[in-house]
Amino acid sequence: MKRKLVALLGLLLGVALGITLLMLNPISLSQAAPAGLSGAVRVLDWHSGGGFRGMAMTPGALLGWSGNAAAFADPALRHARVEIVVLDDDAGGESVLGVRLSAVATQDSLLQARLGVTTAWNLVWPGRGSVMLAGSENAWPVLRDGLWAFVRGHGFRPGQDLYSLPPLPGAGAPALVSGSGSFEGLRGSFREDFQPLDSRPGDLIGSRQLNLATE
Amino acid sequence: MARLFYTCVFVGVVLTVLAAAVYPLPGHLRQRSIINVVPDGGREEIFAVHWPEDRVQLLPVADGRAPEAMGAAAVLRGADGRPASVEVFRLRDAEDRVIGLASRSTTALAAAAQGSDWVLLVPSRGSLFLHQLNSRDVAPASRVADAPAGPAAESPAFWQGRRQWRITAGPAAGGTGGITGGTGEFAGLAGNYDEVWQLEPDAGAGSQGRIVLTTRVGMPR
Repeated sequence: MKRKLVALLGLLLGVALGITLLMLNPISLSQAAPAGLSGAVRVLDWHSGGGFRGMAMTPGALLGWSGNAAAFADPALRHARVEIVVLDDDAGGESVLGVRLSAVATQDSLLQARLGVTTAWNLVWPGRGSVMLAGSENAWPVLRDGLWAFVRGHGFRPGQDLYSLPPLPGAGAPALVSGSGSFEGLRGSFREDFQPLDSRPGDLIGSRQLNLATE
Repeated sequence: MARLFYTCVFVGVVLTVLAAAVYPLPGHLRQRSIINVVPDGGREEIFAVHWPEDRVQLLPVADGRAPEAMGAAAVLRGADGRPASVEVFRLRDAEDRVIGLASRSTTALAAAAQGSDWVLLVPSRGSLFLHQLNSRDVAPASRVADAPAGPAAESPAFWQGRRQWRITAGPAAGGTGGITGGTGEFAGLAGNYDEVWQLEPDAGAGSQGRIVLTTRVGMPR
């Protein structure tokens, strides 16, 4: 009986150590840098979690654990999401109509600290023109901090006020693909910052800033 | 006893790492791509939207600012009153299988011409970005004054007795739209496309049919 208890304790400690190793593995540190921005940066504020359809933005959904009432029934769209939002210019410029299409990334890997989505944005300035953006975001830092808080008995609660979500390795740097109208010929990059909601700390929804850099 | 304990710790670590390696993360259903080789050496792929059943209705906004809703379209007006609109659809392949999502935005461009962007997201393959000038006013807010605002396709006045309209009117050669970029399997593609509405207007101010996007890649833009 004593041997079994020792074996069980050893196994449990080993599993805990294994999870810690996975969460803090050196790969996750080397790919934690958010996308760099160069040129004039326009900050657009929006709120994720309102007018959407598709998969939930939770760590569980990224791991394939949960469905939700808003998910698409079509098998090809089970892990896809669409949001239509109004983005407000931090500098007081005109508001922007945006549509964000996203899907669980095919690059995801627990061993390589990758758990995120690929994204495609279309931003439209009424009467002026539009830009299209292609990128990705790795939610691993949020998951890691949430698990760490959970281990310490604080519930699944990511600790930082603001996360600059890094792109997924292998998915390319987030980029401004093209522009039309007043934005024709523009090139640039972008980064999304994310502020978890106090009321739903584990979810990947809440206030977001889209930092759009143009050259 | 100590050896047993440390052995079990090691086994626990190894099992956890192995579990992470084989854990079945969500994947996307992949349909066989239907791509035709055209005589000039380019490749043609057709995408379609069934109207009206493929329109995607979003959940109402609980937090944050919401755009104005006009049917399934979202509309935002600028300071000068000019609108921008966005609609989202399920995207189908040439065999009418749902393979992804498509968004279509429309607004007047700086030069007064109206333009549209399409973003096609095929989760198993990547994203494709398209831009065009429009041959017709397809904005949902642009109906005649005494009619309720709604999609252009649901207005009998739009059709002028026809069943098919080519919406694309440039800016690429031959009046085609341009493929402006892509990710995943669509990365690096250059080419052009056409958007054609094949719809049957009905007496109830509705319509049904297909919106067809014919893309051609590997051709000069």
